[in-house]
Amino acid sequence: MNKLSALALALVMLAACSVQNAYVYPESVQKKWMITTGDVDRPYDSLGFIQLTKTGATLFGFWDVLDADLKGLFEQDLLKEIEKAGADGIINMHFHEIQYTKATRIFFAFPLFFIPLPRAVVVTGELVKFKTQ
Amino acid sequence: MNHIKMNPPPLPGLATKRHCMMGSMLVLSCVFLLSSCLAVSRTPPLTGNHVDSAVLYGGVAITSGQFKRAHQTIGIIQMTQEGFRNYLFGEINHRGTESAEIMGAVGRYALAQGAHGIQHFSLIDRTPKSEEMRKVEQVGQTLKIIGAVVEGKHGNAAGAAAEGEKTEYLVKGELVKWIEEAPVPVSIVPEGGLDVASSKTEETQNLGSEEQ
Repeated sequence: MNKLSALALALVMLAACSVQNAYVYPESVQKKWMITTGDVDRPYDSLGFIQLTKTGATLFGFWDVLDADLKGLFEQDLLKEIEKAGADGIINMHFHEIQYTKATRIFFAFPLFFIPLPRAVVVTGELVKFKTQ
Repeated sequence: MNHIKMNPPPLPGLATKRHCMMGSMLVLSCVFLLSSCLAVSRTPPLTGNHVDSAVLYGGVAITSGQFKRAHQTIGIIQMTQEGFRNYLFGEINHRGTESAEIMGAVGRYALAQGAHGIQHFSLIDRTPKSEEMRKVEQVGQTLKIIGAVVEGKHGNAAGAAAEGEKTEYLVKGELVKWIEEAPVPVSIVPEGGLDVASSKTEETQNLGSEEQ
């Protein structure tokens, strides 16, 4: 009974925890491309609306066997797509990554260790090429 | 007398049940490994926020941002386009689910509502799949059909050939109507009324900049 109470207390305490993810663009990226969640005043040619979706899984609550996070998507995929399209950047960008708090991860490490946690990250935005003035 | 029971040798060229199961396991592990693959979808060029491009969809300008031209918002729009992707043969409603076709349809609908443009536009693929995943699904489905044929269950084979999944695309945006720029009032007014006229001009200009 005491053990159960302790477990419940630990879960309640962990339930309040938060999880943060950030990706700071390296200086070379900042200089080369315009990546913004807002609009721009400079005239541009649109190269299309793009959506990138990456899915993965976490085993035993903490083991990211197939990583799908913002950092990975930006570094490995988004910048590549911008370059491939010949764009100067991406505007009006929206993004979403599935995040799990420590409490959830612990719960899926024990007792639900046999259920993998699904991971997904999505980025959308408009590829643009600025007009030379 | 000992009777040695021997299994008949498998027929050459035909997949046995064990082979099919092994193949299925292989496909499943491939699905698991490739599930981290990236799915990318890209539409044709949009109009842009300066509306200086000739690109229109259904007679309507489309931008993911906000139009710089003076405008008035007249409403919002949402459209859901569904299709069906057969595992073996791909999208059945290929024409209807092409991004250019979806944008044309939403543009025509917006025009019918009296809009000149759609801003804050987004076209989201709700069921994204990478090329690798589609290939794995094709192989898996082929193995399933072969397995059913080997077992003599031709009905199951036909059923497996028709299997697929629903695809869904979601479009959202804000409907806008262009506003003609208010001409600067030029009038001959008596001296006493000049201040009123100039302040009115300022108001008009401010209004214009706010709308922009």
